[in-house]
Amino acid sequence: MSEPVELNSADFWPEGAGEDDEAYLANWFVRPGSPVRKGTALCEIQVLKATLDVESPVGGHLEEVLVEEGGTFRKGTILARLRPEG
Amino acid sequence: MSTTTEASTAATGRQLTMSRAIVEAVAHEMRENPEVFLMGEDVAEYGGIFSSATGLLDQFGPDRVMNVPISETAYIGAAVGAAQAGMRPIAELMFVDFFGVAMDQIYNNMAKNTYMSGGAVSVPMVLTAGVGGGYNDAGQHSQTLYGTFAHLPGMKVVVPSNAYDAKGLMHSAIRSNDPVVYLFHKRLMGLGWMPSPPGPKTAVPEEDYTIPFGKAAVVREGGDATVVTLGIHVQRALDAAEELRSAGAGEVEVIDLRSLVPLDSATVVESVRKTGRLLVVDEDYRSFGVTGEVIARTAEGALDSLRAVRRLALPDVPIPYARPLENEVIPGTADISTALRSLLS
Repeated sequence: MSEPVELNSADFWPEGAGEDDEAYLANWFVRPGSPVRKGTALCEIQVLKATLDVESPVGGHLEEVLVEEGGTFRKGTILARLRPEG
Repeated sequence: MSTTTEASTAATGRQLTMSRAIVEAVAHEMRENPEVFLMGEDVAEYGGIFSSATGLLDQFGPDRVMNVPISETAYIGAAVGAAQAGMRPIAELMFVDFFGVAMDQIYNNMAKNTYMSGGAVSVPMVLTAGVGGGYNDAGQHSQTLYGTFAHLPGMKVVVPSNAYDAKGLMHSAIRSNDPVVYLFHKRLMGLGWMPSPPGPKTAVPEEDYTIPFGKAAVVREGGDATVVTLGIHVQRALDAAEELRSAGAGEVEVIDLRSLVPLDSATVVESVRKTGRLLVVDEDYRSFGVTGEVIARTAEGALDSLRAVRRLALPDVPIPYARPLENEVIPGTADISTALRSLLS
């Protein structure tokens, strides 16, 4: 079985946002256990009044959500784990 | 009892906010039909202040996704003209409260030109608007005005309560050959800065589909009382119904009207024939509005079955700015539970 892939907020942290800025998880668009394609919008986050969609880095399944809707997080927080296909 | 939309969530896994479901329907129709275009205040670069047009400018360019000057009179009038000339405009009225300055364009032109021309022209346009309160925006930015539009003949009026319905109703609205007023509740849109309750985000198929107007959804079945409602109050009614069941206080049926014009009286009457008890809930003003109309039609259709009737709506005052006062006037889940308990006692 393939190794899980972590969805790390450092990988898509906006350039203008610093280490100490707090981000907000506005929406999840995929439920745990559901299949995703590479590029599928997984969730919507907000940081410094900017909104951005986080896309799946791999095709496979969303295994586990670690930051729920309405939760806050910082640069480097793992938001979810994905299980790549094949 | 789960809704059909909840049932299909597991199958697809993809869940959309109501705003994204609306945008997906508009984008599909714009791809399929070059006559469809969108105009409104801040709909282009900004994507609509309630995210009803996010990304459409990038896909379709400024000729088809147009910002307009702050003159509802001008751009709603222009939409009526474009529709009569064969196009299919979507005109977004940012807050429904602003309809006043364009009332002639809406109720004398958009709604009546088909009739006034003896059927020589039709007006296939969609007027969209954000409605509703609950976030302290005061009396000129918080109304729903459901009853105002539904009262004036010549326009269809639709009010989605969740993402699945919002997409299907928008496809139907754009394809309609007559004017449609499409009212989306701001608190249902799934905006990061104005969080929604969990109900409106649902599974949404990627392909297009239509939901017919005039067909209410029985979103929860029950035999002891009927709640008829729409928009954001569907979720609150479902929560209240669940609370009553948990307390052993009764089984409540919940009906989501989905459209006010046409109004699905038959589904309401059929339910009240079964339950005998009716509660109507909405976020518009109490007098001369949705609640009174639904009760009147039920009395006409099922008078012998009616044993108890209640309604919950805004008292006839401008919506207050202060949070405790606004919370007091807008019906909440606890208000619905209390009304149901008194109805069932």
